[in-house]
Amino acid sequence: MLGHAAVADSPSDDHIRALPKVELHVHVEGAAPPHTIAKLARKNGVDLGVDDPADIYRYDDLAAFLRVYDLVCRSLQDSDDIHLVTYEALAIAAAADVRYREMFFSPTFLLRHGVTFDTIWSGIAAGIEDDATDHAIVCRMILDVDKPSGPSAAVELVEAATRCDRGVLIGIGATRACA
Amino acid sequence: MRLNSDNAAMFDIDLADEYVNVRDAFGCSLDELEDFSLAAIDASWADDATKQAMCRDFLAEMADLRSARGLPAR
Repeated sequence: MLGHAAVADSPSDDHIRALPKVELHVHVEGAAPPHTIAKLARKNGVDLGVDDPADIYRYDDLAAFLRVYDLVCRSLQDSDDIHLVTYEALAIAAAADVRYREMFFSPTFLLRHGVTFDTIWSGIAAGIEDDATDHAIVCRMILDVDKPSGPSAAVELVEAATRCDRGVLIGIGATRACA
Repeated sequence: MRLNSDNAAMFDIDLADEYVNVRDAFGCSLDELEDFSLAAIDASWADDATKQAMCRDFLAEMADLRSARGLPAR
């Protein structure tokens, strides 16, 4: 076993938790606790297919992971829903002593389910503002463009992003995330 | 090198857990764990003034955490 006990100056768990941290790669849609997703799914009539919220995030491979990711996104339907998951994701980070976070959001999933870009952004911006006040965590966002959706969808996303506060939206990235 | 939690809730972790996991897997020292935080400041898209202020604050806080535990300074 690669035990930390073998290292003479190995720091304790509580010391590590208390270290100030910066986080640069995390997805807001995947950072919401299961009980919150279960609550929003119930509110929005989405069947998550599990009885216990703790079972939502169970998957065996990437395809199953992306199906779960899609179900999570279906559970987010208005600005208040997105505000809540943003707020909770940052509150959890703040509890781990993350002081500054750059976080991805992937509008493609939600746009597919009829949520507008401006609805998504207003929820995210409100969550960031509330966490800055309540937990002293600074968050900046990176727009995640879904590559398989093609260039015209990418241009639409980037044009929509010009309406965002550039002090909060600080970057654009691209992934192949959609199932 | 920096540490990140990616899809934190879906993996049932937070960033502090990842620091602990890396300590356990690779036997990282406190210096090395602190360096993950300092390297992440440098790699962020924050402006230079914000980076400098954050770096100053982090180093002071890291020194306090060591001092409170009777550990030597970096």
